[in-house]
Amino acid sequence: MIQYFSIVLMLVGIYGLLSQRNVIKLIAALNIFEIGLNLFIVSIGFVKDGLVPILTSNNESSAMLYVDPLPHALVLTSIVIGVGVTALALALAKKMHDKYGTYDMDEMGGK
Amino acid sequence: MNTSFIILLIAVPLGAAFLSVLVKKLGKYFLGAAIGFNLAASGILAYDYVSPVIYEIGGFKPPYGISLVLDEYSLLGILLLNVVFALIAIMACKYIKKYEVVLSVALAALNGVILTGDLFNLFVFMEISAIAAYILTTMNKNIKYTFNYLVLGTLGSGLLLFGIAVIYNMFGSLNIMDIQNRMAIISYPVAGALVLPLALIFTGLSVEAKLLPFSGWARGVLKDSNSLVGTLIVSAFSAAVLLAFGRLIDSLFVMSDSLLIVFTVVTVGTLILAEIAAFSKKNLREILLFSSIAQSGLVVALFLQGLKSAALLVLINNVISKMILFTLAAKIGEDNGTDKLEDLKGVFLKNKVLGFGFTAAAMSLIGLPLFFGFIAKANVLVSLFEANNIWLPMVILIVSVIEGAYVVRMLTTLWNTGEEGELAKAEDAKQYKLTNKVRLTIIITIAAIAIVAAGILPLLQMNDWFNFDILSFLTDGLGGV
Repeated sequence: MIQYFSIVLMLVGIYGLLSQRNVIKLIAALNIFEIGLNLFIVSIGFVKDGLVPILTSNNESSAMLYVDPLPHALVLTSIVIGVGVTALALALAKKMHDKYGTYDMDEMGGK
Repeated sequence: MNTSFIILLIAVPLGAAFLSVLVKKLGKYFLGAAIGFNLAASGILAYDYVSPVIYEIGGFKPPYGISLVLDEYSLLGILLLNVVFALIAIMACKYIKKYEVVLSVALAALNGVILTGDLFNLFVFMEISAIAAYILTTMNKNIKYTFNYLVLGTLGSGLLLFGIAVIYNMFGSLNIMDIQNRMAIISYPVAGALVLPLALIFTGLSVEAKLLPFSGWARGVLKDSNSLVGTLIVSAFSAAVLLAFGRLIDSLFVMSDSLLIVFTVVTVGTLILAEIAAFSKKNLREILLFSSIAQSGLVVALFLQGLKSAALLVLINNVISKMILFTLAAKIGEDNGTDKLEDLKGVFLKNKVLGFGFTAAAMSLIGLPLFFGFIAKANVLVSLFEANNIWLPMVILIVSVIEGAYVVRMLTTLWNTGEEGELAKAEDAKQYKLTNKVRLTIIITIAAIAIVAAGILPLLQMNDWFNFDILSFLTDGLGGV
């Protein structure tokens, strides 16, 4: 179920990228897309009735049913990259506003 | 062979980037040292190469840890990348100031893209190199196009990651070789199940590889770019992404017939449409950027047909030729304030050495005999005929005519002052500027000679030169030295 939700979020993000012309809204749409993607990746590690993937005194055997920890590690990297790209996009947005006096891509013209 | 050089190709430029942040004044020296090290290390790896090496990062055995793969394919890739990167950095060193950190990071990431044997790691390196490219394009002072590039590039990387996540969900591994092994033993038909992830990965990579219709960013970013940014994107970045594309197609793309047709239509469509677009353009850099898009389409189409060696020859020809052509086009634009062909009639009369370098690269691009491009194109055509493929050679030959037409138009305009039937004289071009920088002239001359030598030597030495196999040449020739 969560996978459908995350795919819907990604589609919302893509719709935002296609329909919006405001730079800040475009960055928000990009983030919604990334959040949907990250949720999807986390969801593929899910195992029904799975345990936290840490060996403890209660969960001593590696043969027990654990959730897959790898997607969570991947998502951490993906989130960090997403933050970096968002920061760069916001810096570009500010530069664009300084140059054109607007956040609207249409009002910026060809140059 | 000292295998630690493999990881150092990534670690040393990254270290240089960190040091450049700490001591900004020494940034250019750190960058220079990293480029020099990578050149030397890739040379040593090529010299000592015997057989493929899998480098386990942190000692974790694959598929549990990230691994780097050095085989003939990636060896050729790192050699090409590091040489081209070094030459571009030397030719355009006046633009490097303040961008040393970004360039060091880009060098590390591009080497990583070529070497990595892990899908998620590939995404990380692709994203790092893309972020470096976004920052480099801010040099053009046209932030709107940089922002477009960022949005499209991030969306493309997102789709790539989505595809990788689906692959991981299906096979439980991110290691490319491990996934290949698992594909071989699963019970259900792989090609049908892989349609979604492969379509996502193909689309994601197509953005950076500049395939139509995902290359909307390229025109805005490249048409006014300087000799550092534009040349890096059309040659070094393009080479790394296409090599990664080729590796994935070779190892993961188990395609159904219908999916292969879709991908082929996209790539061949890119080749045809981009060559027509290049023909219709009037500005030097625009012509070259559309030509670059077309060549990317051709390279990926050849990879899809399973012709790895032919694709690599086209890739090498394109990377070296575009490095010369784009550097000179950007320089002409900088010196004269325009790169419009009509306003540059006879500009090469001002500097014939650079003009000859440009001409050699352009001739090689269209694949005329005695230039390296001929070996590449002949190899492509023979390989395709041997594979009983008739329609793709036809398409390639037809677009070659278009390519030849705009290249000849470009050369005649740049060499002649426009008076038909009259001998062009140097004094007719006195209104132009094409300053002579020693570094630039030396590198362009050497690269042009290399293109000609690589076009003539195989003709003299090899009996079966049509089937010139770059990978076995590298193993038997260079690796076996």
